[in-house]
Amino acid sequence: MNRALVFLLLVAIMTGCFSGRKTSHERLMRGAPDWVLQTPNHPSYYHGVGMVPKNQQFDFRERARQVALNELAGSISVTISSSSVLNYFEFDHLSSEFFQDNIRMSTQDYLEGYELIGNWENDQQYWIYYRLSKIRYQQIKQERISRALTSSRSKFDQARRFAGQGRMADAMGFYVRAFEDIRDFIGEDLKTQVDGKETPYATALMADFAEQMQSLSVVFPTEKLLIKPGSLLAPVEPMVVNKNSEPIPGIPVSGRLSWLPGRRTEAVTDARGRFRVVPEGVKPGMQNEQIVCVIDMDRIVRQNTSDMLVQRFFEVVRLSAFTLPVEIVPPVFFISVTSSLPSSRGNLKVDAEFDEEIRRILRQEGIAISDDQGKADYSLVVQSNVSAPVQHGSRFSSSVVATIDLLDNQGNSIRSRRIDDVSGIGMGAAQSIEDAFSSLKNKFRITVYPEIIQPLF
Amino acid sequence: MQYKSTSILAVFLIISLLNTGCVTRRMAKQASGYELAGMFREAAELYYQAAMRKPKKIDYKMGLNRAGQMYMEGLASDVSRAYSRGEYRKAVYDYLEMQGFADKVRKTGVNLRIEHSTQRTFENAREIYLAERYELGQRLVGEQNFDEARKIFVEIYRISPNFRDTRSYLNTATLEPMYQNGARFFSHRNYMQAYREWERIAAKDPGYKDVRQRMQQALNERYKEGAVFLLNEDFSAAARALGDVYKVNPGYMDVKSQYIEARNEPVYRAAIQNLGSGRCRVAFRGFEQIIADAGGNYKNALLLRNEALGCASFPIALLSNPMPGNHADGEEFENILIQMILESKDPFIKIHKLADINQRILRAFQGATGSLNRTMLRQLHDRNGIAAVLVLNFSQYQKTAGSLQRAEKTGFERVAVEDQDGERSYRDRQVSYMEYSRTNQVQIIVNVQLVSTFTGEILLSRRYSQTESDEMKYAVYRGESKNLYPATLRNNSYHIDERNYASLQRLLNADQTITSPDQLRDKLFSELNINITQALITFDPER
Repeated sequence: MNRALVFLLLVAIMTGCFSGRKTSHERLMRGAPDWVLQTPNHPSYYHGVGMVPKNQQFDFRERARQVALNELAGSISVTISSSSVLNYFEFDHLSSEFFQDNIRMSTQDYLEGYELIGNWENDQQYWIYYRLSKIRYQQIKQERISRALTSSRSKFDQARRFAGQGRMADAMGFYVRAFEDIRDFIGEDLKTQVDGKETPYATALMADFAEQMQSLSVVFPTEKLLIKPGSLLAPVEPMVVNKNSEPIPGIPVSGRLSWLPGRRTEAVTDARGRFRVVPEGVKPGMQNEQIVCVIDMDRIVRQNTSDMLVQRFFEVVRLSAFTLPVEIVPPVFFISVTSSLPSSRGNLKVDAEFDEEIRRILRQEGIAISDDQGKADYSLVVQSNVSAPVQHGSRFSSSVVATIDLLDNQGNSIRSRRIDDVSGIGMGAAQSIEDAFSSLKNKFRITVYPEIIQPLF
Repeated sequence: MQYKSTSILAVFLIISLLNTGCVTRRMAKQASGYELAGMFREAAELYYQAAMRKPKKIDYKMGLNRAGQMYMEGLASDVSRAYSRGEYRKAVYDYLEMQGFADKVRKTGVNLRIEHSTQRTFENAREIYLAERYELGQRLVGEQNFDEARKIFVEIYRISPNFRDTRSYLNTATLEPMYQNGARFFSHRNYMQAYREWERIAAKDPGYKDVRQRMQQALNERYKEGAVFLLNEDFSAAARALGDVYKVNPGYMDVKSQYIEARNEPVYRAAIQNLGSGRCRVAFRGFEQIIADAGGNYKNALLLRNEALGCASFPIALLSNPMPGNHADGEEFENILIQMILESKDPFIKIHKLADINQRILRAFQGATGSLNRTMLRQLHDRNGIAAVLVLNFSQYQKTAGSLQRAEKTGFERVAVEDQDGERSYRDRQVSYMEYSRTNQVQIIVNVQLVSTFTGEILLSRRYSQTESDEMKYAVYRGESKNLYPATLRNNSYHIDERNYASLQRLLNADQTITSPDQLRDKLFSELNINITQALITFDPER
């Protein structure tokens, strides 16, 4: 009984393992037309034969059609003319490949005039064959180029008219759209009359656009910007002008503050050709900073086309960055440190040492110190009360309470902080007071400075 | 039986081997189907699994190479398309997936190609994508949004660890929140938490800002808190604060000695007070605690401990009245008691035999009824330094060695008999067997009194009454014991008693030895003297 069961099990497994059936190629292809058995190669035509297995795909006819047309399109060679705009400008290898791939894709997208020669199927496969006459293809392509050039040329002329009128924003839009019209033919030699001369059209268009763009510049109101951290900051208003120093409205611009990496201000010039950059976030201690503004050509292009090829192509036009040096003027602090010491300890120099430590910390952070309160932007007034040291056997303890007030230059209190019970211990009374002040200095550096002075900037 | 299980095992092995091979073949077949349908990812995955299972099968590797390369080309085209559309993130991650797949497949020995152009596309996409992310990360760091910034720099780091200053920004995004937390704790005087936050930073990057200096300052502030508590004699708060510092850095300034002082000073002070007020035992224990914790150098704790010990010592004179009828056992009782008191190692009790101190007083006290003579007691106190007399009065003592009791009993021996037909029956034969029994016993009643030599006051009084006994009972039969059954007498005739067979068998196999009266005595004396010693040790004359 058991043996029979095991035998059955083995048979079942074997059957599962070796159930594959081989079908001969000859039987499968019996009755197939010549174009199935051998790829056609008539020189007057572009050919495309597509085959798709039937078993796994329900849309195999459509899939086969796509395969055939892709093959047909792939057989149309893409050649880049030596006088095309693609060869005129210098692109890196990756960009060149990108443009060529796009030209190839547009060839597929605009494939017209092809004819269905036949289809054939067996149990497992579906075959289809298209072809396109080379003469017909050239005719269609010339017609498309002609239409594109006509459309583009009228936009180009309009762009130039706008540029002549100083309407640069409008002009740029038309330049971009003019290029968009001929985007499928940037590998071709598109010759046309410009200014009465036979000129490579796309090159002329791009050169004109670049010249117009490069004629624009950003002018700052001053040669250098002085900023004092913590002071009320007025926005900077640079202006975009053309070569005749006329203000240009409607131009997208962007500004960067070198001290705030990752932050960018985007704006569009107003009717006076101006835009605003707020020089916020300046901290004491910064040096050699700058505001960098550029005419945002990417944005200009993106606003006028969503075509990636066009956007990428315009990247070839390089524009200058305009820089305004920024000098950080250190804020000035007046420091006053006074302590009420027990009468017997009046000769201690803890005040002076604390005062010196505060000055050191502030200077380290890029803050200037003035002993003339009238010239200071802020005053830091520190008042400390030292309790009489208490003796405990051979040791002494003392405690200090300090009040720290931050005043503006009008004497108004801005912030205040109280530090209670700062303890000191030592083998003598004086030593215990000095120890308490040592703690006070640490607390000033670790907590008071970040809490009441840093937020000013 | 063994042959059968080996066969089953062999069949199972064959089936499982066939099945493994079969599964792999099925996988490869399925992969081929996917490949034919242009589903290269699925095909490559199945070929990969098949190649991992059967590494020597060249067809699977070829299939993997073919389908894998097609899959890679598909991904490469995704990378390229994403790049063309400006979807740089997708381009980057598609490429990384591609690279991951190629790395995975390499384990099978198949090397899938990644075209240079795809790699260049990836590098460009990566540069653009990471630049965008980097800018965002920088902005978030500027805005102190460290959590979000960290996520971004972690992503950049994973893709390209050396991208610009990613490491530095990642460090800042990770460590700066801890640095600031530390400052907050410090500001709230939570110095140890501040210390620990900064310590976490130092563990990752010891050079981060002034974090090492801050750790020292936090520790110093906590140390000072402890020192001030100590100066103000808030010893428990001082011990907590100084303990915190000590645990982190035992060598920090004089924290060790201060911590010892914070822990021991309150104990020291209490012990001195106890010593002054005559509570020498408590004082002694306090000084002992200090010496155990701080060694013998804490102030004059060692000297004072000895002083407390002298003051707390409690010399006892042992007066054991004669034991009725057994003088030798009385002496044994006394000896065991002395031994136990000594073994208890109680630092305060000093035990003496009254007989060794003063024979005259011994004679006067022995057999005395009522209270002891006060004058004599005082004499023991003043002349011999004895604090108390421990009086043992044995009001009853009996040690009995029982005699062996014999009884002849009637029983039946049962024998099985088989007749000619093989049928089994029993034949019971009436027999006699002997039953023996003996009981040994020791019984004692002792009254214990501890009498102050200074006042004559009875400090402790206990009465102990205890009996210790042992009994043996067994039966002896000369015949086949296991066939012996007891008998019952009914109507002047003996009948076999099957119900009590087990009881008789127990008697027949019972132990025939018995604990001797002296062994019973030793046990009894030991138990009693443990109790008496315990009572003495727990008795505190200073209470």
